[in-house]
Amino acid sequence: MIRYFKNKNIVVGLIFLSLILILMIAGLVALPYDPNAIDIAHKLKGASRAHLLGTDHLGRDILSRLMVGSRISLSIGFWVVLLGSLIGIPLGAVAGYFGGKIDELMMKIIDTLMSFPGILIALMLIAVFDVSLKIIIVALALISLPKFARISRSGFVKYRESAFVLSTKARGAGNIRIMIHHILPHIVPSLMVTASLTFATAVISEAGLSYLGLGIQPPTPSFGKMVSDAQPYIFQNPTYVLIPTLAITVLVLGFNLIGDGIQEVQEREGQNE
Amino acid sequence: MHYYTRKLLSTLITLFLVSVLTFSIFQLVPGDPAQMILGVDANPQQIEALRSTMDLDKNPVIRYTNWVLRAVQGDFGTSYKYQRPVAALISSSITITAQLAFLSLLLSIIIGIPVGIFIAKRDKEKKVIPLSILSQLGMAIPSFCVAILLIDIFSIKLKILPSLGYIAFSESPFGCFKSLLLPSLSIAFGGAAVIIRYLRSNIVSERREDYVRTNRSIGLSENQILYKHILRNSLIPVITIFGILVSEVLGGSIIIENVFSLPGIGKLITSSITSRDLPLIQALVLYLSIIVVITNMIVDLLYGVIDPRIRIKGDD
Repeated sequence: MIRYFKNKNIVVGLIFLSLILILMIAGLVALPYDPNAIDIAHKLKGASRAHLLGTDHLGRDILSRLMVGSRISLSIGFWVVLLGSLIGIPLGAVAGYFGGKIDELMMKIIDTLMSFPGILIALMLIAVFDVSLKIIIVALALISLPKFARISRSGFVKYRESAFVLSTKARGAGNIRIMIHHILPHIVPSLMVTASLTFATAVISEAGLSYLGLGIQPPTPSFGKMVSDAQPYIFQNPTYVLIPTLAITVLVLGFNLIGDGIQEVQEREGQNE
Repeated sequence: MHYYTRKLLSTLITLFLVSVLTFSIFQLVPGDPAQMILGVDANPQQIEALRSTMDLDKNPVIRYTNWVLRAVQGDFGTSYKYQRPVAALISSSITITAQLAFLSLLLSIIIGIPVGIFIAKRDKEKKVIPLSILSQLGMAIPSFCVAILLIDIFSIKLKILPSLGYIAFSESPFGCFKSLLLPSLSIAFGGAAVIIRYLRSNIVSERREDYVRTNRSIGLSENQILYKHILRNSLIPVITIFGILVSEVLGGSIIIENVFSLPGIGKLITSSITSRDLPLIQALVLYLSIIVVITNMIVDLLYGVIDPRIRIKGDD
């Protein structure tokens, strides 16, 4: 475990991630203003003691909106990773462990899902079911599912014939027991890499959808919507657009770095074996 | 089975599944489409008539078959909103998206490959750190944020490139290039980062191979080894991410066309969603995924031609 915390990428990634976590927790403990309270008299103000990050085009406190927005981004990422992994990992495990026709069929379906550009799946579901937080999460989970399934499958393919699995089998252990207790622990690190990259993708996709007006609906604040709100005022108050951009970037970069770091640690171990 | 036959067959199956999935999801639309088009004032006879022209009274298998047969002939139905054939709407906006995608891919490659080589070459030196950070940022900043920053610099401050609108190639080739430059740069920032990452890790892992040590021991310089041997082996696998790249670029153009108000496929998709123009969305989803599937097939076939080992080894 310690070797993971010695990796530079993981440490920097965790620092970035904690910046956003602190923002979210601070918002839960002490939200400075109502994030939707409109105050036209004080619109597009720069940073001041009353509004630490200034106000937006409707005079709403940017810091408060950022705090609530981080809660939205983090919870969407969380649910997407949870749903995607809970469905994707078992599917990949069954395909990889048992092989044969089941494997072929499942991989074909996974390949099909992967042929759609990610955002297109989301847009298609939004068109059919209308925008809602639930649909966004389901759509992004559907996009992430094939990635989890593929990584899980290749792990199970790698270990199903290995000596420790065959010997456990010879001792009479059942398939499910072998899959959960003996193979799964070996592929947890690769799944962690997928999980953090998926989290990053989910955050970026939600921001994109909200930017287009097809994600989180106003007045609920979200990073992507904040960017599109700020775009026309780039002249008057350039920090207004930079703040949500920075928030998205820090969060995504954090998860990307953590993913990279876990992969690095694993590769180094692979070489030492 | 022969490698190429197997690939073609597998592409056909994927195309079939893609069309089934696209068709099925649109069957889940709550409510009656005929009622939706005609509005609440329509009388039952009108609705019944429209239902039968839209095949809504037949079973799903027949509807699917009819839908595919018409689509193959280029008939994707009529848009609810524009009251025009969907195919005509697509063909009038595809040129813009195609030009945008082409320029984005070109820029990704022009930026990605040299920078990837440069970073890998000086893997351990301090001066490539800013470049590594930039490529990490390329993956982390959303394309629409890059676009807004580019607009701020090149359109508002320097006033040298337009911030929105499209100029047709036939009108002015240079104007067309200028109107697409910022949009494609915004997409290429992320695309180049993908190439850099992949190429760099290829080069770094190739360097550990035995042939590199052999070459070193016979006295070749590091540059000779890199350009004559390592690079050839590291660049070929980059072809495999071309399919992912095309998919990313198409996805990116959906958002970026909206930032720059380019009347392409992406703009068509978002406006068709807000107006719930279902036949149009369905056709666009099918169309774009077919492009991705076909690209992936071409990549696979090409890879088999360039690297014959693949043809024998199979998929994994």
